[in-house]
Parts: sequence; structure tokens; C-alpha cells
Amino acid sequence: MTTKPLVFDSYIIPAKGGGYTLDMHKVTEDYEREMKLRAGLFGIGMGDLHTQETSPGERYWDSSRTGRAIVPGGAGDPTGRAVAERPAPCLPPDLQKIIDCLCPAIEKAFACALDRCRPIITRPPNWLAPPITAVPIDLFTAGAGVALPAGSGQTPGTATAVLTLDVTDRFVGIITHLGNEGEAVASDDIRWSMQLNTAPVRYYGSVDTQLGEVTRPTELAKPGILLPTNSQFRLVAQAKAATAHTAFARIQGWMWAARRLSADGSFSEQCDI
Amino acid sequence: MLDGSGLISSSFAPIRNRAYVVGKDGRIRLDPAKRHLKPYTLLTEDESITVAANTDMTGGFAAGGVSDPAIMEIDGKAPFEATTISFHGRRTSTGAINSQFTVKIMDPQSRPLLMNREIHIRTLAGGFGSSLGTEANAGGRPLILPETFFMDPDAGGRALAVEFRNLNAFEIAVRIAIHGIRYTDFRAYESALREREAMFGRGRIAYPFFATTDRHVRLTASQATTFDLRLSDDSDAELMKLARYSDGDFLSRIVEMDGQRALDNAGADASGGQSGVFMDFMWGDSEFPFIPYETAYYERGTKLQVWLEDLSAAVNNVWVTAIGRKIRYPEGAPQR
Repeated sequence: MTTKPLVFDSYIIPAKGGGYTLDMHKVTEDYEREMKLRAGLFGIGMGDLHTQETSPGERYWDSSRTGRAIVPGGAGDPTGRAVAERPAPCLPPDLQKIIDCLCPAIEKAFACALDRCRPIITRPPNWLAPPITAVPIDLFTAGAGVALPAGSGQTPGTATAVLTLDVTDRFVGIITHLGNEGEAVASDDIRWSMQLNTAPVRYYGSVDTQLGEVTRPTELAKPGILLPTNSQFRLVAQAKAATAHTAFARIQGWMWAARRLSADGSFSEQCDI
Repeated sequence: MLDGSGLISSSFAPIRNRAYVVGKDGRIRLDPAKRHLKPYTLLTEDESITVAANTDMTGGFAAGGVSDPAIMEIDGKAPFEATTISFHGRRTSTGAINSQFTVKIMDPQSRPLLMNREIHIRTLAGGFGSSLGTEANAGGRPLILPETFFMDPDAGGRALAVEFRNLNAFEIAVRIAIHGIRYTDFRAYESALREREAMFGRGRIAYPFFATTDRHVRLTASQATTFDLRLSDDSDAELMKLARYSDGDFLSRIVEMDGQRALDNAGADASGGQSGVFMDFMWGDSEFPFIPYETAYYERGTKLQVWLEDLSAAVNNVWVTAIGRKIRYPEGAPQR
């Protein structure tokens, strides 16, 4: 593949009033052809040899290197139209106008069918009220509880996962209620930590007080704790001092299958209703 | 090329050594874009964020040490394009340099976070190495984002929210800065957006993304196991740089779940067990990321498996981050 370099010198023509000037028509024509040629034949990305120097902050996708497509009226448009100009419509002007007027109404009317995610909400979003497809979460310790080994002196005992919840692939979940208690002792002898993928959940990362009971879990601050897909939620506890304890706990909430997921746990909520 | 002003300029983009352009008349003149493109640094409010100590729980668990979200807000005057990120961290009691914390950046606009989970700061931003091998902060080598992202105050993109998590058992004070370009002229911004649109198609947007494993990686001594890394269902992803921070050495492999295609030939070792690529041949850090010769482009919903084996014979917390960009098809976003 050979690419003719852009040499503006060859476009110099005699000017009308004497002297020389650039033949702009030829320049733009050739430039456009050149760009199209490059766009079809090679592109440069990370790790490739750059044809220009690369400095911090410079785009990797400089148009003179990649020869990307040129938007009519856009930055690289050789026709030099104003950049704020609307691109030419593909349809006859009248038809385009009609569509422009009707589109908002049509889209609104067929929002669901078109899967446009318009915010037409007829019920609270899924993280505030479970959808009909939701799977309940009600996870609690066995009757005997979970033994928390004693520490020594003021050194806390071994941290133990009391409850573990794996969020199913392509499901998103929410935890809304928590109950945590020890055996018949003051619960401030136990430190609790709610963790998502081993990272403590803010406000619930280090708790040494009883927030709710197993039989009557307390409601967490809304909207609760969002569980991204594939994540692992753990309620961890440890005895804070030289006394062994038994932990009892319960978490409640729900999971639902989301049609479209972001790996970050956010998701296209309006479409999933 | 020609822009709307009728001048031949290399690009509207603020490229170094491009302050001058050739005009229609063949004369050299100042690039008009230089009048309204300026460097800009975006900080948190407050400029320094104190993160409480992480309460160590035994058995490898940690508790607490999560900061409140800090806001990074631009004023309403002009759009901002982020290009690089740097950070600084110190132990508050002694002033010692510290880089042991994680960060999660949230975009209050309709776009989701820039990462799927919290990631280690040393895979997000530069600033921890004034010279190789020493842990000291220095400016000048920030992470260069493989894709810029725009914050337009008129379009709801006025602020970012950042959350830090301390990995130390003592209090630290951290700073983070996002550097970039301020467009004080709307036309320049408009053409930047249009250029973006030309790259990815109408109505599509691209922005940087930091993909890490779905779950935190904590290998026990000599443990070898696989972690999932699911790329989102709402956008394609292109992985361009690889960065890691770990307690010790490890081997790793990336295998595509679909078709079980591995990105290396490590395969089985002599004893029949699985083998992998030594970490330095696969992962750098955010200052000097490992840059694969070819980017890895994955369509929506792709799942990768990251296989990791500890070589340190001790507990090994491994933070791996694939830095790239997301190309998103915004259903619901108004089509232009």
C-alpha cells in the first residue's frame, strides 16, 4: 500500500493579481480523497508506530493519523461549512421536517416497543420496590448461630463470615434489611462488617452495635446496599476481646434479572421494569 | 485541514507545537483555536481528602476506612475534556508518602461509573514514583487516559463524585487531580464532539473505563484460581493498557470465556498444572502501564477469565485493572 503524502506545495498556482496562491479547490479535493483512502486502509491505535510525535494529552486518534471519517460540517470537513451547522438530512426536506416534528410524539407513544428507555415510570424503580420477576433474599444463620472465636486480651478474635451471598450472574440485587445479634450478651462485644467483594460498605463497614434483631430486621437507609452482578456480599463478625461469642444474623432484600447490565452494577433500570 | 474558519490547521485539537497554521492566503498565522483551548486541572472539594483508618479485622478482613464521596465540580462556564489523572497521598500523623488506597469514580450524569468496582489508586493515576523503585510522589507522569471524556455543565456533566477507601490501619490524606482541556469556545467543543461522533457513529459515546475482576482477588499462599471479569452488556469495550498492584509476584492469564481462547501460549507446565505469564510481562502500573501491541476489542456482554497464581508463597492481594474505553450505544439518549 502506498500513500501519497500531502504536499501543499504542488497546489500553488499563479494568482490573478500576480504572485502565487493556493489552488484551494484542488487542495480540498485531494485532501478529501486522501483521507478516504487512509480511512479505508489503515488506522493507528495503541501500540502502533505513530507517524507523528505523541505528547501527553494528545489524542490517540488524531485525524491526521487515523484518517477517520469526516462529518459534514464537522471539524475535518474540507468544504469548510460552519461547524455548528446541522448535517444535511438524508431524506427530502419536507419529509425530514415532518419526521422531526412527529418523532418525539411517536417515540413517546411507542417508548416501550421501541425500547427507548424513556422515563415513563408507572411504579417505583426496581431498587425501591421489587419487580414481579424478583427473587427474594432472606438469608439467616442456622439455629445454632455462628461461633466467633475468642481473642486474647484486647486483641480481637478471628473474623468469621457469618452470612455470604453470591449474586447470580446477570442479576442485580439490593439488601434492605439487617438483623444482627449475639447470644445473650451485649452486642457491642462483637464487631460486624458488611462487605461487598471484601470492601467494607460505607457506614456498615465497622459496626459494634446491634442494628436489628433476627426476628425483626431493621431497615437500612434507603435505597439499601446495591449488589452488582457477580459480586459477593459478606457479613463478617469477630469477637472484640477475650470472650467467645455466637453470632446470629439475617439479611433481606431481593435480586432481579436485568436485561442490560453495566459491569459496575448500574443498569438500564427503565428498560428492566 | 480546513475548519469552519477557512484556515488550514492540523487539527482543532491542542497538539503541542501546533500553535501556527497556514491560512488561505498561504501565510502562517496563529491557530485561532489557541485562544479558547486552555489546560485545566480539576480537583476535589476539599482539595485534600482525609480518609479514616481501616480497622483491621483478623483473617484478612478489613472494616471501615471508606470516605464520604468527594465532589469534583467544574463551574458552569465551559466544558472540560479530561485527559490525564494524578494523585498524591500521605500518612497524616507522620507525613510519610502513602499510596495504599482504592478509589471509585462516579459520574452523576446518566453515564455509569468509570470503573466496575473500586480499583487500586496505582492502577488509576500516576504520581507515586519520582524515580524507579522508590515510592515517592511526583507530578509529570500522570496516567494518560486511553480515551478522553467530556464534562459539559450544560448537559448535566458538571461534577464527578469520588470515593476513597483506605487500605492502611492509620489515617491518610489523599489528593487526586484530573487534568485536561477547557473549551472556552463552544464551537471548538462542538467540533470536538462531532469528531467523537465521527469516530463511533451517531449518538454513540466513548469514555475511558477501568475494568477489574468482578470480585477482589486475594490469593492464599501459592493459590491458583480463576476470576471472572464481565464486560458490561450496554457497551463494547476496548482494552488498551494493563496495570496492576500486588503484594507479591504472580502469574496470570486472560482467557476469553467464549471459545476459551487464551491470550498467551502459557498453557500447562511440566507437571501438567496450569501455567501463566509472569506479571511484569502482562501488567504494568498506571504510570508505566503495559501496552499490548494490539488492543483487545470485546463486544458487549463478553466475559473474560483472569487466571492468577501466587508466586510469593504468602497471602497476595492482587489488583489488576485493564484500562481502556467503552463505546456505548445510548438507548434512550436523544439521537442528534
